[in-house]
Order: sequence, then C-alpha cells, then structure tokens
Amino acid sequence: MKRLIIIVLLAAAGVYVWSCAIDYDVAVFTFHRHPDLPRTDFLAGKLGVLEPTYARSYLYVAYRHLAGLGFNSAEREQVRSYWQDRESADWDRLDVNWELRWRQARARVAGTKPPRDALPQERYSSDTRAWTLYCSDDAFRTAIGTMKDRQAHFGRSSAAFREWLIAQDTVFSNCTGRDPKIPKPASPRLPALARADRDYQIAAAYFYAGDEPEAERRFRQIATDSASPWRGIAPYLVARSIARFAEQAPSLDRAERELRTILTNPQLAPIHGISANLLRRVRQHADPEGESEALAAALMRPHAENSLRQDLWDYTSVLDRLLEWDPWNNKPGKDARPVPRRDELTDWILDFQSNDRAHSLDRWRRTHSLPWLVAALSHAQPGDTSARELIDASAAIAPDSPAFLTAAWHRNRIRINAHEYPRDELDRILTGSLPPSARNHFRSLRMVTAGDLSEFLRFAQRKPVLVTSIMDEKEVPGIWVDESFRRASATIPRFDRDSIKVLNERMPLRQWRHAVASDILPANLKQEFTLAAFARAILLSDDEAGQELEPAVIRVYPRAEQFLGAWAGDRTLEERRFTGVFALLHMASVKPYLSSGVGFVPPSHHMDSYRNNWWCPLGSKFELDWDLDDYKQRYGTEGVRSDPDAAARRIGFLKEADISEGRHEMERIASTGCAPNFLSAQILAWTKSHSDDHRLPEALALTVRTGRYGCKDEKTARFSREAWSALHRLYPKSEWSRKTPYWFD
Amino acid sequence: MMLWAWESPQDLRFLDTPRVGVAYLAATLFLSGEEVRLVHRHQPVRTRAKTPLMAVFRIESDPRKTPSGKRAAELIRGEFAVAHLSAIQVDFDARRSERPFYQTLLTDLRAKFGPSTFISVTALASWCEKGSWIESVPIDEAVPMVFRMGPDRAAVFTRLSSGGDFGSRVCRTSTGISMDEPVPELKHARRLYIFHPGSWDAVSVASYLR
Repeated sequence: MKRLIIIVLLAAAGVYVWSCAIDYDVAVFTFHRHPDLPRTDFLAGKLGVLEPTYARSYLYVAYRHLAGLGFNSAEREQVRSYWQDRESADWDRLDVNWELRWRQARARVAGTKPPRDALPQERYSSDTRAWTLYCSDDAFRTAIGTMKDRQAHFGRSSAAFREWLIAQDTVFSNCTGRDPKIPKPASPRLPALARADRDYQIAAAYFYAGDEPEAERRFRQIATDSASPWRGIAPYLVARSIARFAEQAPSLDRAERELRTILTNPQLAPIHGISANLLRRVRQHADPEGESEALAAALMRPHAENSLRQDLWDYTSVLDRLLEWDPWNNKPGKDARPVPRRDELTDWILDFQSNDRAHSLDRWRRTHSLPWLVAALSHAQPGDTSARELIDASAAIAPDSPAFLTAAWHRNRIRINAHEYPRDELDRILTGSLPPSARNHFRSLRMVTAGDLSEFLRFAQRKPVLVTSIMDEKEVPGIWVDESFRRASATIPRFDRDSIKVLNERMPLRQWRHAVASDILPANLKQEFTLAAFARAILLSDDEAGQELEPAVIRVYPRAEQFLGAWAGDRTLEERRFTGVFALLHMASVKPYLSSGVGFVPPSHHMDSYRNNWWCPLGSKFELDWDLDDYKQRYGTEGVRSDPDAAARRIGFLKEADISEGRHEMERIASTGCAPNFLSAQILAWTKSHSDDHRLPEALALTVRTGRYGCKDEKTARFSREAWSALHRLYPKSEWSRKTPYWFD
Repeated sequence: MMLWAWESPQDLRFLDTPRVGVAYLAATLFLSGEEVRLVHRHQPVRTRAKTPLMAVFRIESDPRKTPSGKRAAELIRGEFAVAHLSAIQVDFDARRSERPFYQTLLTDLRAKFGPSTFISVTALASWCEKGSWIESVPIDEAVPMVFRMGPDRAAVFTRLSSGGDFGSRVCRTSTGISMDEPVPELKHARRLYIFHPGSWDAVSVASYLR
C-alpha cells in the first residue's frame, strides 16, 4: 500500500524537476501556480485575482471563501501544514529518523557501537528499476518500544530477551531485500509472552520479505490468540498484508471488508484510527470518484480542523490521479476520462480550470452564488449575450468581498476587449491595497486603456513579484527556498511582456523618441530605452533620430562618449552611421529592442562569454519571444499575446497609422539579419572608402570578434574572415592586428 | 536515439530495436553544502532485456550553500552499482560557483568507475563552446540541451540551422531536445536524446523514428 501512496504523492506533489539553463534570471510579474507569498493573506480571504492555473489546493481555499465558509485559525494551520509537506516533498515521512534510533538503541543494549550501515527502508526492483518502501518508520519505532519493555520485563541478560533481540535482527535483515530470513519458532521453554512475540516476529519477517499471503495467514492466527499482546493490532496487519501492492479490485475489496469489520467492532477501538486511514487509501484506489466526493464533503464542513490537512492531501491526490494530471503542462492527461462532478466543490474547481462557459453560466443562473458568478465571469467574452448580465451582477460585489478583485479584473477585461476604457474604475482600484500580483494584473489593464504615451509607459512599468533563476513553478514555491527568500528581490520597475510586445513590434521610432525625451521612465528603463532607440536609428538610417538620440546615449551611458566622440564633427549621414556602428561594436549588450523582465544587461567593456551579445535576426521566432515556451511550460498557459497587431490594436491611443509605421520599421530592422553581419557590412564598406580613418583597425578587430561572440548564420564566418583580411592587409603593424591573430568560422 | 524517461511510470517494452535506448532517471540528489539527500526513483520503468539503458542522476543544489565534499560521488556509485549498467549520465545545471565541485565530482566518478563505464553529462549550450570548462573533465560525451535554453536559444538555433556546430568536440556526439518545444533544424547526424514531460508511448517514439 505504501508504494501506492508514494506513487500518488510523488506525482501529485510535483516532484518533477527539470530546470535547464538556470544561470539566467527571469522576472515573474504575476504568480500563476500559487498566490502571492507569503500566503497568509490569501488564506485569510484576500484572494487577489484568481487564476485558473492555480493548483487545486488554492482553488479549494478560494472556493471556501467565496462560498462564505472561510477558515478558522486551526483550519488555516491545517492548510499551511499541507502546503509545507508538499514543499518539502517528504510526503508521509516523519522528522525523526527511527531507523537510526533503532540501531543506536540496539547497540546500547548489546554494548556495542551501532552498525554503520543503515538498514535500507526501500528496496530496489531490477524489473522496474524503481524503489519501494518496505520497512517503514513505524516498524523501527515499535521495535524500540518493545525492546525497552521486554528488557524491563525479562531482564537484560535473560534468554527470553536475548532471543528476542536475535529474532528482531533477523526480522529487519529482510529490509535489505536479499534472501528471506525467518526467525525460528520459539522454544517451548520460553515464557508465553516470549513465544507470542516470536509468532509476531515471524509474521512480520514474512511481511518484510514480501510474502504477504503467509504474513496474512500468520497475523490472522495472532488475532485469535487471546494470550498474545499483538492480537489487538493483528487484524489491522491482516488488512495491511492484503492491501499492500493491491491495485486490483478483488484484493482491494477484500482489504475493505477486513477494515470495515474492524471499524464496526468496538473492542478494536484502539486500531480504529489507523484502520480508517488505511480504508481511506484503499477506497481511493477502489472507488476514486466516490472517495473524491466524500472528501469534498469533508472539506466543506464547518470545523474541519481535525482532518483538513489529510482530507486536502487525499482530495488533491485523488483528483490528480483521476485527471491523470500532467504537472509539466498543468493540464489533464490526453487520455484522461471526464471526472464525474458529483459535488459543488469539484464541479466549481474543474469548471474554473476549464473553459466551459455554458456550464458556469448555467450554474450561476440557477444558484446566483458568488463562486459561480466568478467562474462565469472568468470565462465570459465581450461578444457573449450574457456578458452585460454578468458585468452588472459583478458591479454589486462589495470591495471587501473575496471575489471583488477577480470579478473586477474580469469585468474590466471584458469591457476593454469591447473597446470601452474604464480608466476611472481602474484608477480607483489601483489606489487601494492590492496583492502584488493583482496590482500588476490591473496595471496591465490600465496600460491598455492609456490615453497617451506617457500613461502607457507609466502603467507598463511593473515591479516583479519575484526575480528567480529557478524556472520550475510548482504548486508550492520550491523545494529548497523558503518564502522570505523568494519574496520579490527586485523593487525596480521593469517591463512585462505585454508592453514590450507593442513597443518593440508596432510602436514607431518617432514615439520611442518621445519616450526617451520624457521623464516618465526610471533610470534603468531609460538607459535601455535610449540605447535601443539609438540602435534602431542606426539600423533604420534615421539620421534625424540619431542626431537627437546621440546626446541622450551619452547621458545614460557616459562611457559611450569615447566611441561617439567624432559624432559632433561628422558632417554626413554616412559618417554618423559609421560612428554609430563603431559605438555599437563597443556596446555588445545593446539590442534594437527592449527586453522583458531582467533581460537587459547594462553595457560594459565586457562581452558576454555566453554569446548573448548584440542581436539575432529579429525575424527569427525566438529572438523577441525567447521566453514564450518557458512561460508556457511554467504556467501551462499560452499567456503571451504573440500577435503584435492584435496587441497594438488594444492600446487606446495608438492609431492604425502608428501601428502600420511601427510594423514597417520592424520589417526593415528584421531585414538586416543578425548583428555581426550588419555591423561587419558597415565596417567593411567604410574600409573601402575611408581606409585612413584611425578608428578602423579597432573597428575591424571588433568586427572579427563579432563572428565568435555574436549570433551567427551561414554568412557570418565570411564577414569575420573579410574583416580579418582587411585588418592585416591595411594595418599590418597595428596593435589591433597583433591582438587579432585569427578569424572565426 | 535515447529516450529520457523521467519520474513518471514508463512502460517502454514496445521498444523493439536496439537503435532506441532509454536514459531513465535513477535518482535525484539534493545538495546543500556538504549535506546530500538522495531520493530514489519510485516510478516503474519497464523495458525489454535488450534495450540499451543508461542511468541518469539529476542533481539539484541549494543556491545558498555551494555543494562540497565527496558524499555525492559515493552515493551515485552505490546507486549505480545497484543498476548493473555500464552507462551513466549526470544532469546538473551547475552554476558558475558550483563548477569546481562538479568538475571534482566527475573526476571522482571516472576514478571510481574506470574507463569501461560510459560517462555522459547533460550540458547547457553555453558550456559547449571551444575552450569551455567542460573540455577539462573526464567524460565520454556532453549532451547539449537545445531546449529550455532561455535567451541563448535564438543564437543557438540560428547557428545550428545554418550548419554551424558546437565548438567543443565533446558536445558533438549527441543533442538533447524536448518533445514539447520547437526543435532546431539539425544539419549534423547525432545521437538524439529526447525528453518527454510525461510518459512515453509507441506513437510518440514512432514520430521520431520516422
């Protein structure tokens, strides 16, 4: 049985770890798998903006609040305990190492040092290449207690006690999984208690050796032995022997019958608790649909504090199994059967996680309950005939309701998508106290309603809720890291994907220049914006923009004056373009686009040794949306507005002409290909006409290096070689020729 | 072709060709300073007797305590001995500060296993440039993972699709891809390691064999 438990719990707890490329940080602006950290406010009913991608334990908490039930303090502790156990991945394990305690206690009795080698609790199967728990903590804990008792009862040097010890060593030797070893029957000369112990040890040895039928037979005999101190627990062990590894109905049914017999026998009251737990596990496998219904009922009881943690654990585990949940993609398995929705809690959770508009609307119209209004709103779209009805109903939700922010967010989402611009309401909400993720959700909506560029840029800025290098976002915040560590480390505003999608791909340089000239951006974003705008000006050969931006570049990056020094004396567009390209060669982290989150690296005199220098072709699928798949993988949703036209058309102040101009510029930039090729072509052309320019040896040397440290295609090596040849042919005595002994394929 | 079989039930007995092997997660080690916690595989992976197998050891590390000590190598050796195999893969996205530990670990494993054991490591694409630290460790192959790459992806995809290659020779025998991500156009014939976020089935495998 334990194996089944572990299988279920491992899958459910999301102990699936595959986090590649962890050296780069990502900014998380809204949590999608769990609420904001710490979860105290959420547990107290401040639900923020609920997301369908939340793990079901959070949706249960939300539902209970929405249904008006809430949690008392003891119940909240139970929920916390559940989350902590999911986080530690220790599932049913206790903190105490009972196996080690057994070895230590055993050694003290024998007057020797404890054996160095631990007794394995899990056993390897070469058939499945997996490990299964055989010797549980309880076994060692019971043995320690019995040893102390028998030592006191028989005396340390008595034959009865010494033989008990030897037999017990034999019992536990079966934990190794090697040849089964069964203690010999007790001598008739030993006291009755010692003989009864031996019978129990023999049954236990068969159990650990994996001979469950023989173990069952012997435990059954012990249960009828009125002289045995083990007769009380023996019926439970009979059931356990049957249930162990049972996955098929006949064994599960037999185990259930045994357990129900125990539970109806008042004389076996001391084992009712453990038998009820085992029965629950058996039921989860025999009738998971029925069990999930029973668990849902238990979870929705007032004063559920006595069993809430276990109920929630079992409920989420059973649902995970029924749905064949794929924790990687955060969705049901492709072959999973529909889960019967026999209770309100399960019905609501599964509906909220799906996109079943008709069902949630029907449920709301029948019940007019808050949970179903939230679910119906979350699915509603502007064109729906019911949209107005839902919007009106949601407007009556009081600000202190747990549903308020979710309802308000969806209400305004629907209105904005219907080309309404509810700025006043959004501003009112944003002046209130909001959970950090909810604040970023609402700023995203408010950005879309911006009346001008300044407003757009103001609400495009968001403070991340977290900056992390750990990509996995699971139900719980992480195996290693406590909540205080994972709380937002960044207080600096950044751009999220929704704004840079529009800025990069559909906002014309003309408006970028306004942004650079404004005071709306903090220093970090202003630096990135200015340098990216300057790169765009060079790529677009926009001389007027270049002239305007050049002083701004020096203001945000004073070191650039070294490379842009000639700009003031440059008389022609070509001269200024060369100076600009020369400067870009020195600023390897500069790209002609903005990065979301913490993607931008301020320029320095270093190149990134991981080749994240300059830019790849902007037309490439992955240059601008590099995190699209990571996002999908982490949150299980598409999430990213990948259509730039659609994203831009949602922005109130952007005219179609602006969008068209931005698109055209984007196409021209993309046509220049990868940075090394563009920069090399400019430098080589200049070499032909201005070989006396004193900057050229350095420019050619840097051009050669772009072939190694930049993003390459099939033409790049040729450019690198041409630059190397020109450098050595034209400037053979230059220090830069000496520093550049070869080109890069 | 090697199928990465992660911690979910995997019934791969439908594999009937030695051309397709299985690199199954054998255990995960959690490192925090000198402390090591090993978590065995608990989900079954079933294969035919002739299917080539490789045991994969995933390493997770505490970002607050740089791993140290020899315990991890000892545990891997013990666990690998149980599997009775001759090929092992270590999967550790070692941060810069963890590289000295990782280099020592791989050196220790080579010393323990000798030359007859095939030692593979998964590698971030950025480790596979010429002159990288990965060239100094005694391994038989490094598998550049061209998925979950973050900002490096555009550069790596552009390079591979245009016929370019990884600079380091040890990275030129295999490539790691994932079923749930776009795959670059690979111009060089290589052993493919394929990651499946769930459980493999015959249809999924057939799509790659074609």
